[in-house]
Amino acid sequence: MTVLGETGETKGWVFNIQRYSTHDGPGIRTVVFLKGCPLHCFWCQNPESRSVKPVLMFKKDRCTRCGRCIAACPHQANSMVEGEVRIERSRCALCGACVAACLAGARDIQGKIMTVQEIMDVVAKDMAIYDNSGGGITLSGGDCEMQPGFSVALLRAAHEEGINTAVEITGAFAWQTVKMITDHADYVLFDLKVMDEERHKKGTGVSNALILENARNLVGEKKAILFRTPLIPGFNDSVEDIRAIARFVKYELGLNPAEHVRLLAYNNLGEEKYARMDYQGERPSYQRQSDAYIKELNESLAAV
Amino acid sequence: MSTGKVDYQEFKEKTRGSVIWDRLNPLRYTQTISLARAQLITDAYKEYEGYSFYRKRGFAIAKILKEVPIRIEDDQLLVGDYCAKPMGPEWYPDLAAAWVADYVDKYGWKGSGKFYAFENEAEAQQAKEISHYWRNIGGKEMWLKFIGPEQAAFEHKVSEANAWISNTISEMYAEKAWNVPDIARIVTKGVRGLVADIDARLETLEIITDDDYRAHEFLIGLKTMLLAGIDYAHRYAALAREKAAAETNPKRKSELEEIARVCDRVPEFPAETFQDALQSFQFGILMVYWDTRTYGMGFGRVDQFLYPTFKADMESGKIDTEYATQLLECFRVITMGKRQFWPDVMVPNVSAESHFHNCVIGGVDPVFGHDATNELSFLWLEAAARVRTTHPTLSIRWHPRLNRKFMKRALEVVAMGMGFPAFFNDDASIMYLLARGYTLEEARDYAIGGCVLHHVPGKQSSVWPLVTNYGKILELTLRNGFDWRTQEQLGPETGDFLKMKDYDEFMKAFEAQSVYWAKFAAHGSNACRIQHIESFPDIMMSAFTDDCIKRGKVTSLGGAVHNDCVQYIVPVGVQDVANDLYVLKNAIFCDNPVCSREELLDALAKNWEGHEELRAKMLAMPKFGNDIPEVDNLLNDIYLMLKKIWFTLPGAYGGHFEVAPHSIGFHAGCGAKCGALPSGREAFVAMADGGVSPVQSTDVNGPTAVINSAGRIDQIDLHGVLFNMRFTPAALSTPEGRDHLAALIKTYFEDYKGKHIQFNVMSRAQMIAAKEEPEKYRDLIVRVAGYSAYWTDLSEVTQNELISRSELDFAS
Repeated sequence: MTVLGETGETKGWVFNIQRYSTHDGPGIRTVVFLKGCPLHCFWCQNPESRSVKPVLMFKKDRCTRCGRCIAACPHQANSMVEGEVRIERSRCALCGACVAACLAGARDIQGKIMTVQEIMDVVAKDMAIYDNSGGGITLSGGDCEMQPGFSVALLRAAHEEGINTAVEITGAFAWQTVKMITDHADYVLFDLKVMDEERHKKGTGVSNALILENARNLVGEKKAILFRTPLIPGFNDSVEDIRAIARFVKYELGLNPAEHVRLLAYNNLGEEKYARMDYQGERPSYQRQSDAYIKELNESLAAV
Repeated sequence: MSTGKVDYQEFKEKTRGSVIWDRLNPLRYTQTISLARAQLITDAYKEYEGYSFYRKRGFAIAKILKEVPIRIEDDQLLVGDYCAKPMGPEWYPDLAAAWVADYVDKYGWKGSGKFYAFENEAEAQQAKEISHYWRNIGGKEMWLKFIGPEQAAFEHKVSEANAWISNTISEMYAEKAWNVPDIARIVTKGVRGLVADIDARLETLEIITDDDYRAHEFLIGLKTMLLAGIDYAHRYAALAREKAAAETNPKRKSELEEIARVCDRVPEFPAETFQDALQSFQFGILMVYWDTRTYGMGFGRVDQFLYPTFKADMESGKIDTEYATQLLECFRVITMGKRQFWPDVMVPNVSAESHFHNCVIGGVDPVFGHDATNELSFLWLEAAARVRTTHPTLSIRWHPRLNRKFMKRALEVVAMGMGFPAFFNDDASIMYLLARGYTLEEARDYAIGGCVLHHVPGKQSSVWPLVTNYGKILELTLRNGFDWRTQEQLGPETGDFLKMKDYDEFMKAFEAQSVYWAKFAAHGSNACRIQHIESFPDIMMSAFTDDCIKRGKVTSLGGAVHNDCVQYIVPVGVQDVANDLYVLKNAIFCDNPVCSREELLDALAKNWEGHEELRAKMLAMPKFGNDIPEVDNLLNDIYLMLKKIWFTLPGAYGGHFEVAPHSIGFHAGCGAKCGALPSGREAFVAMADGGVSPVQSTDVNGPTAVINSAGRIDQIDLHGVLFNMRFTPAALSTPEGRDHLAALIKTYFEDYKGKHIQFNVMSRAQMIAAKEEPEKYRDLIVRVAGYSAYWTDLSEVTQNELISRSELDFAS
């Protein structure tokens, strides 16, 4: 993978900073979402994160059809078609004029360049809460491995302030990159989607061979690690799929699956983001697994 | 005499308290007004006409205690009722009388449809006759005569019935307690001990001034009431014996015999057993109640003063934790029997069911400052978890060394969604009291009066709250003192907004309006308080307050050793005003204003109609509660200004006025009478609740940002600062979720020295459903301000306000 655009040691592409995150490592944390991801999972909940470039998000339900965005756009990217505002995405230069003009808060641009200092200013606000809850900063994405220099700079800056660090990674990078980042992480959240290589390729666009290799290496480094499996209905949520993951964790990594694997029930919170991006492709529609079924899967996990 | 263990095992499945409560609860909707006290005190005043006022009060309250109808509920282990009818309200004509005649004239005997019906036409007429007797001597009636018709008309104009700027007048419907008398001393000394103190004082009292004469009559009146308390208990003993004789179930028979034994002993003599202690305490509360009603009276540190008898009984094997918990359940249910009979004007502002009785648990011991949590602290939580009643509310005194298991259990009870326990910060509260001249030992022994007020049990007088609507004061400042609602020049002319040269000039005008209304309210409050010397003195409460007996004065009239922290202002809408000031400073009084001042005034007058774009811009500006220092500090500025104004206003008996931002339930009523404001606020919606909670739906950066903003407000020198957060049930359903909540509390208290925090655990969807189908949600309990209430008892404005509060979930 290439390191893209204007990212570097002190600046990077960020699309969100979420304070009071409680499911992304120990304690109460601030999650910094970095742009760009090497995987293209069909169920992705953060589609705005896939590209390193910014994305204009348009919340049609908030639009009052006042036309101010049409007047404001210097590139004539907006127009009124049959009483609805449409965006000609090929014309859009992501200048942000329409965002500033919109009074209804229907538009925003996901992805902007931020410096390490700007991010740390936000992160440091909750210092007392990290101390009291055992929390800290978590780099997520996308995948922070897409911006390795920037990620390392952020993690170092956090450590200098005495802030606990965690990263959420796909592990789909060369070991050197994975090591470079995780060396500065107190805690690693590592996605294991599915053990079968072919299905992994089909579902995410990449093989899992390198991912599994990196998992073995990380365990060898004795990193505090939690594997996470997003449960996608019909794709990886069978008892057999979960058992396969549990066997890998137990027999190849030597860890207790009940303790080191967290199953995440499906949610469709990301669905509306596809519409906001004018995503043209088909979207699958799923129901969240029942609590009883999640319980059954957790029991299978623990039974291996 | 039965002193053996009582058999209670049958209640293990469905708890004793819930069994009783399930029977009583439906009566909340159907029970009629009781005229028992009103008639008895009227008869007594006639009978004892000519006696000195205090002596007459003594005879009158004694008559009530000796004659008011009593009963013992099935399965109850405690006795003592707040009303002659189960779950009915009593009326106190000696506090305010005329409104009831008006009420009958307006609605007839069936009442206004909420809770307040009379039994029949004859009783409504009886109420009118009683009202007529008190037309010149009811507390409010005497006060109105004292201030004269002109002032009375003005007070009415600015009260919640009209402009809603300040509410001295309607406060006259609510008697004052809000403090924490040390009723615990009846448990240890007994009535005989208290009477001995009075006798000793009488022996040394030489009557050589009019003050001495008044002291003498006060002491006689108090002694009369105290001794009648013994008769009151003996009536229950006799009733229990009578019931026991007729009882065929041997278990219940033994319970009734035990009740008879207890009531023979207490409150006359010191309590020996845990049941004695709790029963004696209940009698003590009721003796104050039948005198001056105990509105907002804190029950004190209930896990401390009841502990010695609890411990002794546990050690001797007389009781076990199950029986002790059942007694506490019984106490919860008996407290629910207290109801309010309010005039309509009060209902939008406070729940008809609110009593504000705070039971404090946890905290530190006064001598060494060690953690004071004990086994009884846990049982109070247990009883609340078992009997899901709104009262009495539980408050935990938090400190860094608080028992961890206790904290864990407390958060589990919070997660049940009843809105309590609330949490108070020992360090910040103790600092506040030390700064007011309390000794360290006294300060460490504080409890909570009303919703959130720091009180040292038995050291302070009853309290006089005032409410001022600061949203309205901002409105008056923008219109040079003119009130659009009454179409009158109510405030002073503090300058034409269109001609002001800068933000500082505006702030000077705002301060001038604030000073004017503060003086007005303080003047009224002092006058009310002193005037009560002749209508509604809190005589019985004085038995439980130092140094009333020694000084020969009642608590609120110079008897209490501390007159600090007892007169205070509840400033409502200050968080809204902070947002308004930000807009005025950064978008109006600036180089490129967002709009002209004419346009702003026009937009506000039209409630933004035709100015929607302007409103969107105003709404988009920074708001308090998002961890933005520039706007948060404007709230600090407002509090600083209020402290400066109020601290210098003289209160009665050497006290001064405190600033106590906790809104009670007034944010709904104040908002309903306030127009649009510069921050983008729409007219007539509720103001922000509490003192540091963000304006509803304006906090968008999550709970840590809210905590940081609230924590940025310097709270030490404020008298109780209410802070409300709402979480979804899912957020607190796991131990990790509750650990996170514990971390938030610790941060807010330890790092920021916040004073109070409480949680509503309920989803917006649940509240909307409850609003649509109230009949299905009669048991739904929510936290409003410093109190929890049944959802169905709340006004629509308050329900909407609760729905619009920000919902905090744990991000995934």
